[in-house]
Order: sequence, then structure tokens, then C-alpha cells
Amino acid sequence: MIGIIDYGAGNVGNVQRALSFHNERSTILRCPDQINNSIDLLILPGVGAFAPAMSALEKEGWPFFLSQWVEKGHPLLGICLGLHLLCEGGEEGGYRKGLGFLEGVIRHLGTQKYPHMGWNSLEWIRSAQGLEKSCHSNDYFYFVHSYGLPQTNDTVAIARVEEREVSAICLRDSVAAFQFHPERSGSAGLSILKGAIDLLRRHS
Amino acid sequence: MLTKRIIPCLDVKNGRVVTGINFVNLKDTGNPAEMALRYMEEQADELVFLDISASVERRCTMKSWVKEVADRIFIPFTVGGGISSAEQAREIIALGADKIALNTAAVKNPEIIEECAALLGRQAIVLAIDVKEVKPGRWEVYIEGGQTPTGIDALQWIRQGVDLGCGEILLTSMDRDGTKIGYDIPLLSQVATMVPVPIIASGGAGTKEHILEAFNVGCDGALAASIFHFGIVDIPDLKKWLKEQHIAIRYLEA
Repeated sequence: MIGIIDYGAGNVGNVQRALSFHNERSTILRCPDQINNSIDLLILPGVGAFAPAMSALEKEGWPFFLSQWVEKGHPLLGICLGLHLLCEGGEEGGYRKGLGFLEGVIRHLGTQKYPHMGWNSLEWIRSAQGLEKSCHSNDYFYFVHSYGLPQTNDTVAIARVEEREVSAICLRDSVAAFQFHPERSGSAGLSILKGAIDLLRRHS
Repeated sequence: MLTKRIIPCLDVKNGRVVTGINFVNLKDTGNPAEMALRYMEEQADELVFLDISASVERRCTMKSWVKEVADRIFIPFTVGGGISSAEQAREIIALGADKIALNTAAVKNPEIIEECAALLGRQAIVLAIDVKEVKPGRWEVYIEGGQTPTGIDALQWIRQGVDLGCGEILLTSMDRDGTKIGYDIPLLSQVATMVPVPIIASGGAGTKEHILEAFNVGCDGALAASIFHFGIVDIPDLKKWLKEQHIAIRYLEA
């Protein structure tokens, strides 16, 4: 069973529907107390701004719980704003500390046009433990964000926006994160979502 | 590389997709979720639904068709039509829509753009604007389904809308709408470089060359209705052709 963390930022229903497509059972969690032994993987989705989202997580005691979860090597998958929150911090609306499971700080994209909105391709920059195999070289994924993570040691794939690069997929131990929305990226998105779940489960 | 978007637009009335010219002789063309699924399979990049029901009926039917679309498709979609409060916008997003489009309500009460952006994030707020050219190089904003002139200059309203927090502009030329003679390129070329947010061209597309023109002047997306609904332009063919014209486009060989 997969637990989807609902902290009021964005639509958890669409993530749940994408999981159902793969016959993955999931449940929506508002606070860590709702976690039971059947949950083997957590998803942190989200759209919106960094600081209020971090406050919402803190209010329910998620940062402490998630630190223990990750320390024990349990799988955690971030999507979009979820990727941002997993990093060391974010500069959206003033610096704010993040969960710190992934390296780097979230910054404005600095592009002429923003949000970076639409379908973009991926460029794999280092081994992604087989996740590469869950998509084709000419697949596209749906991005929508104005802030992002510059390339770090955890970045396995980037996307190019105007003349810049942004982390598209990060991997570190039992933590994975997508900047794009796999649940909104058609069949390519569904396939890479499944790939990440399988990879994280093998890891734990 | 970020690709240009092909966006079919579906008008919904009482929970059914309808097509017609200038809102008359409306014909029932299908169920919103079934048409959405078909467009997803044909590689549409996203979808826009505009609910044209009378306001009383709209509240009742929207809940069911928006949820049904969300249940069936895995590409982004926008819902517009009569949204007049941030709370209504939130309800639609909660049903599974990715973005909401504001039009008349935003002109009457511009603060609604700020309220919606604060609640849902600016990426979820599309400002839909209907304009008519009143003299060469000057366009006026119309509201209430294009029936009411406002005296507001379109370029000024676009700048204000972006300042207030919309994440995208859906710009419809009423002069061109339904004519199939091409988008209003002079208007779009000014707007595409004027503001930092993505611009979706709307009104007048009749051929694949028209869509190429919009992309060549800097538009990020091209919206059309009847040419897609009636199969005048086939989306996979269009995307293949655009790719051959060196436009960045998401296209997968069948």
C-alpha cells in the first residue's frame, strides 16, 4: 500500500488515479498517525509555494516523521513541489529550510518565460539504477514550475529550459523525486511512475 | 527542449460537448470524458473545457463531468466558464482539473486573480481574454461571452493580469473566431514578447499553416475547436508536419 501525503497543496486525487492505473492500492494521509504497517512507500506530491507548504508539513509533524522514515531506508517519492521540499532549502519568497533529504537549494528558474509550463524531454546525466529503462529516448513529460533545483550530485536527469538546465529527476538512496508531473504526462508518465515505485521498493 | 502545445478546446453545455458557429446551431458531439480520452490518444498536449451552460445548470453538472474527465485522462486540462470566486476555482481544482480559466469575473473584479493565485498557485490560473480590433493596432476587451464591450485596452489588461498573478494568457480574437482565416498574428506577435507568461493563441485557426504562424511569432500553445472536432486537421498529422518545420513538438510515431 502506498501512502500519499495530503498537506493541502495540490491535487492528490490525480496521483491516486495514476497509481490505480497500475493496480497500486493507495491511501491519503493527513498526518503521520494515520500510517500503519501496510504502507511501504510514501509519496509527497504538491503544487504551490515552498514556504506555506513547509509550514503545513510542520503543523502535522511530518518533517520529524519523514526523517526517521528515510533514515530507516524506507522509500519516499517527491513530485513537483514535493521534490522542492525534499531539498535543503528554497528561495521562493525568502529562504526557507527544507526537509534536507536531497542536496541543493531551490531557486527561481531565471528564464525569460515562466512558469516552465508544458512538455519537455529528459537528458540522463548519470546512471539512474535502471529507471532509464522505463521510458523511451523520445518521451516527453509535463512540467509546470517557476522555481527549480539546479543540477546536483543527486540529479540523474535534467530538462533544458531556454539556455538553462534544471533537475528533472533526483535519486539518493531510498528517496526519488520528479520535477515533472508523471500523473499528467500521458503513458510516458505512467510508465516512469511505475519504474520509480519498483526501483524504490527494490531498494528498501 | 520545451515543446509547443496543441490544445483542442471543448465547449460543454449541460454536461455534453457541443459545437456550433458563434454559439448558435449547437450540435451535441459527445461526452466530455470520451472526447478527452480520444484527444489524449491522438497526442493532444492538453485540453481546455469551457462550460457555456446557464449559471444555474452549470453548478450541478460541472461536478460530474469534470470528475469524469479527471478519472479518465492523464494529461493536463483547464476548466473555464462562469467561475466567479476563488472558492469555485478551488472546487474545480479539487475535482481534478489542473488549471481554471477566468474571464468576465476577472474584468469585473481583478482581485479575483490574486485570490485564486494565492490559493492555488499562479500556474493554475489562466486569464482568458476575448478581444476585438477597434482600429489598426488597438484591441478592446469584451466580456460575457463576447457580448459586452468594456472599453479596456487588451494589451493593458494583459499586463495587469500578469501583475496580479495569472500564469498563462488564453487570447481569443473575436474577429477571427470561427472564420478559419488564421489567428490574429499582429496581436499575438506583440503579446508573445510583452509578458513573461505563456501565451495561447485562439480564434481563427483553419489550417496547419495557421498554427505554425502562431508558433513562429512566439506563442507557446495553439488552441482550436472545430478543425479538430470535425477532423479538418488531424492532430498526429499536424504534429508530424510541425516537427518537419523544425518546431519543437511532442510527437510519437504510431
